[in-house]
Formats: sequence, C-alpha cells, structure tokens
Amino acid sequence: MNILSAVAVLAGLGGLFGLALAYASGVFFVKTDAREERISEVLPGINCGGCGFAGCGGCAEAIAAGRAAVTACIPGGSETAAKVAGIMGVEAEAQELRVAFVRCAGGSLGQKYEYTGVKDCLAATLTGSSAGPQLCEQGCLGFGSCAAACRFGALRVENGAAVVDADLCTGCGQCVSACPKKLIDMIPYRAAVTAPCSGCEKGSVTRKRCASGCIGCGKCEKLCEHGAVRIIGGHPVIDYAKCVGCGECVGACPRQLLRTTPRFRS
Amino acid sequence: MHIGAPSRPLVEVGTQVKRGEKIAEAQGGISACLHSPVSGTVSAIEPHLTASGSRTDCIVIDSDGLNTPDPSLRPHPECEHDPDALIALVREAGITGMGGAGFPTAAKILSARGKADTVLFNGAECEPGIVSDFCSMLDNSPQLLHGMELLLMACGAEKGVLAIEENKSEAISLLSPLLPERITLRVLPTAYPQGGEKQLIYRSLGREVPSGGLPADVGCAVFNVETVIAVAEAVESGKPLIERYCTVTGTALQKPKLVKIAIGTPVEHILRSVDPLCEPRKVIAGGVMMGSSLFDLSVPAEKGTNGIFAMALDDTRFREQSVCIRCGRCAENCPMGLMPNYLYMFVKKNALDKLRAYHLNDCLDCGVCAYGCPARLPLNQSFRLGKAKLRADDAARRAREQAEKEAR
Repeated sequence: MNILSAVAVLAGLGGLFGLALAYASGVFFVKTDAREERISEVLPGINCGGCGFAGCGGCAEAIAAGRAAVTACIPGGSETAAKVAGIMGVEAEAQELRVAFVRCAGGSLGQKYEYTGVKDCLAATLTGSSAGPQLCEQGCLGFGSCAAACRFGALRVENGAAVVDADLCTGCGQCVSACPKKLIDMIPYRAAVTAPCSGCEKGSVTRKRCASGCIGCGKCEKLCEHGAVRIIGGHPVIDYAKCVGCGECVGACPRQLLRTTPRFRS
Repeated sequence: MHIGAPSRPLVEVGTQVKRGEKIAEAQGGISACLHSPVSGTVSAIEPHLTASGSRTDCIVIDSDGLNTPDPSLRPHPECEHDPDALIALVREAGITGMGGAGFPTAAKILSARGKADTVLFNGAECEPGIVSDFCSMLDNSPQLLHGMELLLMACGAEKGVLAIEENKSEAISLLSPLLPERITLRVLPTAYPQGGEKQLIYRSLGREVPSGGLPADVGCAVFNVETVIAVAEAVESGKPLIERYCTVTGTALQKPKLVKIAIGTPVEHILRSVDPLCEPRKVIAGGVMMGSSLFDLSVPAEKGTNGIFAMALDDTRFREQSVCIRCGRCAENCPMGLMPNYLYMFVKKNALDKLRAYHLNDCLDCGVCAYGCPARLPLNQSFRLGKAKLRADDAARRAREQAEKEAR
C-alpha cells in the first residue's frame, strides 16, 4: 500500500512539472533561424577569428542574419562557401585562397644595440628604438609574435625573419594584426614570385644594413614585359593580377631577393 | 617633445631666430608651443630621433653663440590677478609639466579650475638620484613663492601644500619661514615613487584618486616646483620655457653635476660638457627607474628630461631571469596596490579581459616590482607590452563598432 502511494505522488508531481515545462517552453520560446545551426555545422569550427566575428558561432549568426557574406569564412575556402551558399539559397563566387606572406627575408647585418628584454615583437618596439634593435628599420624583428598568434603552426622564424608555410596557412589573417611592423600581407596561394623586402633606404644604406635587402637597382622592373614588378618606396612590389610567372625577374635580381614559389603550377 | 598633439612649425629653413622666439604653435587643447633656446639660424626641419625611440619632426637651429634675446619678450603684470590671461600666457610660453611626464600645464590648470580646493606643489623628487627639484627650489625661492600664488589664483583654490622630502633639509629650512599663511609645508619621508601625482596626493592629503580618474576628481591639482618657477618667470619677464635643470650622474662619470640645459641640446653634448672623457656603457634619459635608455646620443634633451644617467659596464650586467617563486614582494611593494605576479601571467597568456579586471591600466610604470623581483622577471616591460595590447584591442573594437554602425 505504502509503495503505491509513493508511486502515485511521484507520478503526479512528474505530470505537474511536465505540464509546467510545456507551458514555459511555449511562453519563453526563442525564435532561432534554423539556417544558423546548419551553417554552424558546415563551418570549420576552429574559431580562428579571421572573419572578424567571435568564433564560428558568431560568424554563423552573422551570415544567417545577412550581416556577413556567405564567403565570410576564409579558412573554409570555396568548399565551405558553396555549402553555406546552398543553405542560404544564393550563389557563391569562387574563392581564391590567399595566404600570409612576410615582406622580409631576414639577413640583418647587426644590431643597433643589445636588446635583453621580453622576447616579443611589440615589446621590442616599446623600448629603445621604436623600429626595433636590428639595423634595418623596416625589417622583421624575428621574435615570432606572428608565430605565437598562428593557430595552425604555419609560421616559424628562420634567418632572423618569420617565414610562412603556405600549405599550412589557412588565410585567417591573425598574424597580420599581430605584427607591430605591418610586414605581413595576404597574397594569392598560387603567386608565382614573391619579393620579401620592405626596405625604403637607398641601395648604399641597405648594403650596410642587410645581406638580402633590395638595393633598388630596378633590373626586375625593366625586364618585366608585363609591368608586374615595380620598385615602389625602395623595394619591389608585385602586381599578381599582371604576373604571368615567367621568372625573368628572379634570374635578374643581383641580391637573389626575388623568389619563385613551388605553388604556381600546382 | 611632450604628451599631446605635435605643434606646427612657424619658421622655415634659413629663418633667423632670437632666444625665446616662438618657433612652433600648439595644436589643439593638449599641446604646447615651442621656443628657440638659442639665437641663430634654422638649418633644417626634419624627422629626428627622440628619446622615445621614434623619429619625430624636429627644428634644428644652428646657434650663433650670442644668445641674443627676443626683444618682444616683456613682463606680463596683467596676469597677476586674471586667471584667463595667466592660462593664455602659460600656453603661449609653452610650459609643460617638468617632473617627467610633460603634460601641458595650461590644460592641467583648465582641468582643475573650479574643482580643486587644494593645489599641491611637488618638490618630492620624481626618482632616486635626481636633485633637479631640490636645486631649483634653493636657487629660485622668490619665483617659487610667486608662482605658487599665481597657480592658486588660476585654479581658484584656497589652500596650497608644498611637499618636500625630509632629506632636503636646506630647502625645508629656507622655505618654511617664507611661506604665506595659505600654503602649508608638508615634509614627507624619502621614498620612491612619491613624485607620482596619485602617490603624492595620497601621502600629503590622504585622498585617493579613483581608478582612471584625475586629481581634479578629488579636488586637487599637482604642479612640479620647476613648472611653478617657469610660470613665475613667464609672468615676471615673459621668458618662455627654454631651459631647465638636469641632473647628470651615473657611475660612468668622474664627477656628477647638476646643469642648467637649453631644451633641445643633444644628450651627447650635455654628457661631454660634464665629463669629456666618459665612456658610458648605457645612457638613460630621465630617471633610472622610468627613463628610456638611449642607443643614439644625438637625441635632444626635452622639456621633461630631468636627469641623464650614464652607467659603467658593471651596472648594466644582465642577470638571467628565472621563474616566479611566488614570494609576493612585487604585490607588497606596488604603490598602486596591484598584483604584478598575476598581471605578469596574464600578459604572458594574452588574457586581455583579465588584465582589465586586474586594472593593468592603473600601473604607473614605476618599476618597483621589477626592481625587487628575486627572479629578475621583466615585470615592468611586460606591463608596458600589456598596456600596448590593451590599447590595440580598444582601437580594434572601436573600428569594428564603427564599421557595424555604418553597415546598419
């Protein structure tokens, strides 16, 4: 008898709470966009922040609400963009993968002073010279703040300057904002030629400061039939829309600064 | 160089200037005019390295060695009783705080006007080893007394407090019989960092400036004694801020000296005039604790350069850092009551919201934490890094909000 009353009381309570919960879920119903959840599922889920929103959830919400383009996810590339476009019912334009590139090849010939402080690029610009301790005022500091910001292990410091592994880079752009010297650009993955220098001094000055820096001789500019290489502000700048990847400039550079990438024909 | 907007040059290359002639005009509220400290010819207006380590546009003047004063400089008796005229004169004379930070004085008077009931006159040296405040008080006591009255009038305050550290007994015995009734003398124990505004207010008046607040929020204004003297000189003779006291000391010098320098003199020239044969291993502009170490001695002395330290090799030994042993000495010594041990961890972990929650921006960069750290952790530099990261984060957030607003 006792056990029956206990069961009855529990069952009654359960029923009562069930009704209350059913009522509450009706009253407090939050209208969600079903697409948001589906977009969330197709996004990579790495929360890199490259889209400018707070993680992949924030990006999905923004896309569903129409505040971001269907191509907002950079690491996802064309594949993800196509899936997201399918969910949103629009056409996605083909995405070209862009990867980070450090406009310095290292090779500083010395230091202006001995720096013994915190091994961080931003910290090194806050004390002593605001350009950092190395002789070249424009070059990479080599403390690897960009590498620390990269979630994909795509950056490492070599020869005193950061180098990007383009195959690991997802193009999220976190390193671009981590560099206090603004040395990192996003270039097409299939770029044929790179020009890792940002120096703006005259050739005679650069020779004294750096083993690899551009001396502004202008051979690359003169040789290029397509007008893709220009010396702007003391260093070569490549227009990837014009570059056909012939490699003439690479062979002509007396400093071996211009380099071909293995990715061009892949 | 000083805090605020850069000023706009009024001269061109080739212009003849007289000593005390205005050569650059203040731009905006927090900015200061510049005056030529010598007579001569402007030879260049170009980016030049400054003590902060960055290149800033500087006016280079070749001195003719005559120091011919500008004939238009005259006394300004009309400023004796007119606060507006005095503030305009202080602005025109290019006076900035001379304790080190260099906040334009006219802007400070305006921020304190009507809000401050007490004005503090800061005769507590800003850093150990510097005697600039002390000697300027001894040399210019009539101007100091006059300047204190002028600033009390300009701020509309009733009371003044002159704060001097107890080891400056000559200054105390000289000034205490001369002080008028409404200015009291406050003798403070000798300590660092006492010359900081917030520390001085707390020590002298027991008032605590709120986090992110100004001295005016607790009814105070603080002026360095050398600034006070500069204000008095501007009224008495029209002389703008073109020279200052500078303590030149350090183990690399045979005989340390206190010198009066023309603002803009290259640091190298000052060092050589004190000890022509010195070969310092490290030179610091400002104090040993908060100054900036120089890698190029051609930088000019600035309005806030109250000291130059030239160190010999032994003093610059770099000691290997180890790990935090959690002794808590940094937290015990922090004059702002912060917890440097945690802040250091948060900077390393890039935890920006934690840095905000633990009030990193209240850190005044005094370096007491790093000085006493048995593990030799680069606490002070990490906090500068943390503050720079917070600034960048704030700027990025503002840009994002602006972009979102425009998108809507």
